[in-house]
Amino acid sequence: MSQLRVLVVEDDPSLVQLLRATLEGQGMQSIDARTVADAVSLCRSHNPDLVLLDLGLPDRDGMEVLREIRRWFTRPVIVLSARRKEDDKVQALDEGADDYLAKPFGAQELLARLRVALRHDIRRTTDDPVVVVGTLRIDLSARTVHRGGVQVHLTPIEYRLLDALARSQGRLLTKAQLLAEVWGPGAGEQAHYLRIYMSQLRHKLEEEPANPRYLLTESGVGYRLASLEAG
Amino acid sequence: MPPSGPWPLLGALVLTLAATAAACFLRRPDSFGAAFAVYLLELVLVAFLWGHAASAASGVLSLLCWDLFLETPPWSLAISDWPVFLDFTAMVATALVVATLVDRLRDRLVQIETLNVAARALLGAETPAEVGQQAEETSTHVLGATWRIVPDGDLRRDSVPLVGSSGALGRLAPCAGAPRPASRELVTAFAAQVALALERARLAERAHGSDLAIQEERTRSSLLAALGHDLRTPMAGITGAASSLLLADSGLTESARSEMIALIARESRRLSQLVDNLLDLTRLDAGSIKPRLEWQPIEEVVGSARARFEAWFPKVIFLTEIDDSIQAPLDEVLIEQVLLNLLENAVRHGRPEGPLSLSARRNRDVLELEIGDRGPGIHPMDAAGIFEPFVAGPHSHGSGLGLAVCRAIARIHGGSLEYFPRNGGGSVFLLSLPCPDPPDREDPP
Repeated sequence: MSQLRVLVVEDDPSLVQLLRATLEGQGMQSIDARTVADAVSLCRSHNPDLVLLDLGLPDRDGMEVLREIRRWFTRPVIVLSARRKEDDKVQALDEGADDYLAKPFGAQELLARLRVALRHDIRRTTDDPVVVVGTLRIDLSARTVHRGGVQVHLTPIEYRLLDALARSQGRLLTKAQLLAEVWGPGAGEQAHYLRIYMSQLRHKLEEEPANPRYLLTESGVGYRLASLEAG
Repeated sequence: MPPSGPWPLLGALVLTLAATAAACFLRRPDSFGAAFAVYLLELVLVAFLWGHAASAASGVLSLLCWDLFLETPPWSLAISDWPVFLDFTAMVATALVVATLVDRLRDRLVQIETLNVAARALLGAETPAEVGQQAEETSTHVLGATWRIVPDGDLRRDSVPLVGSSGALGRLAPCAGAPRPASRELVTAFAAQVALALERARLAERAHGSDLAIQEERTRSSLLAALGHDLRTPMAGITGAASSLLLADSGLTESARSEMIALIARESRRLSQLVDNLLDLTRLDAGSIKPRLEWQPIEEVVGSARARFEAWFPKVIFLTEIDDSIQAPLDEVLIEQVLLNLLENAVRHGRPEGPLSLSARRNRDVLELEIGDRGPGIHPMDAAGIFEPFVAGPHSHGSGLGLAVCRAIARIHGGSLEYFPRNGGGSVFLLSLPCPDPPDREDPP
């Protein structure tokens, strides 16, 4: 496999240095951009495998980079945002980012998110119909769910919700994205239904619904299906 | 103002008749001095009691009475002794002039009294707005119409400037349709009092503002002093460890190196938490964080807090008791932060591996979230201050801000956070949040 190229859109020199060192330590190539204009043109010219995008850039909003490159760029984008900016995170995700990392973050966390985003990217291309997480086995083509080898019966809406999460396994989906996916466009602000169904799913699929392992909540942002290895 | 109605004229009539009777009694054939004196006294008294109109009426009546009863022959309008009658007329005229002066003096006294009352009311006002209100109210008594304070540039008819010791404060102007003021002097005097009160109120307001600023400054500097200490400690560790690692010939063993790296990671996290807490506390205190209340299954909020907590402290053992039917209107992000702070506190101050107890129950209209540890607990002497910023236990590694943030978050939810010593040793923190019955909803589509 050829060397992975990551476009790092960040204006703080220390953070750029750190990200470069971390990425190169993993055998990836890091391309730096410090402004919105650079980011868009470098993304076009280098066609990276993944973009790490800081939402707080000096010249213009990093959200503009996201909007601009999402017109043609289909590979994963992970945004870096300040803590407590849940609205920014939600907006970035709704505008096509794959995940976010709140600053300050550790190298481990960064690499884990990178791996998930890249793996999901491969999934999207190979279209493996079976998603496995822990003791859960979700067969997207047969529309069946097994927990510890025993089939679990889900209502149609519960299944649609799980299906949406499983198709983006490891990826964070906003409430708006899930509502649109499960109930169709126009479901709008009825986040309450989502919580009810998520709670029902947890009670059917988790060992300990109050301490979920698979169906994870990101407070104020959305939900994701964990991407544990099978075991 | 003299009293009005029929009483002044009636009084004047009665007193004139009484004076006439007294004069008849006192009259000597060769001397009218005593009689004159009685009338003079009567006319001035009438003026003083009922004003100069009553006094004038009394004067005319006195002339008539003199002519009828004291002039010879009595009961006749014929005048036999012209010099004496002219003397009497001159005396009445003098008396009426005196009466007018007395009347004016009395009016002036009344004005001074109303001005004094107005001044007391105006000086009782504490803010410029109150002064404005008082000026409007008292102007109706003092000037007979409503006048109000207008900005300096407003030069409407009849308005007068309000001049304070340091320049113009505005103007005093009559409301539309008010009659023109009777006395310019009175308006000026009233304006001077309004100006005085206004200036005083503005100065008081400014002084109050600077008092607050001084108090705020003191709090800020004591916060900064404490913060400086709390920031320096982890920074000293990081700087020290990093410089040792950079030293080419430090002679550090591999295990010492990795210990130092771990120290840098740990202390940086501490620093960043301290800064987060400080920013949160500032914004919570300033009221710029508003909770986004949404109905949440409590199980979900606890679950996501626990997941994040276990990422940092994977070995901690939990004893949980969550009523999974509870839903409450709360801000999931903020409440998760409270739970995380409390859990971390419990690990830091209790035993590092727990067990921690975590329970959620509904008690009438209150959601009670309880986090308990089996640590040493908090000394009763310290317990009172733990929710204040920068009060931390003697052996703590906390910044002393976490609990202050938690309590501020509980409060903006309309709830509370309390500490209790735990039965059998340890600490319990009880987070109580309002938890009304959830609204009835239709089944989702």
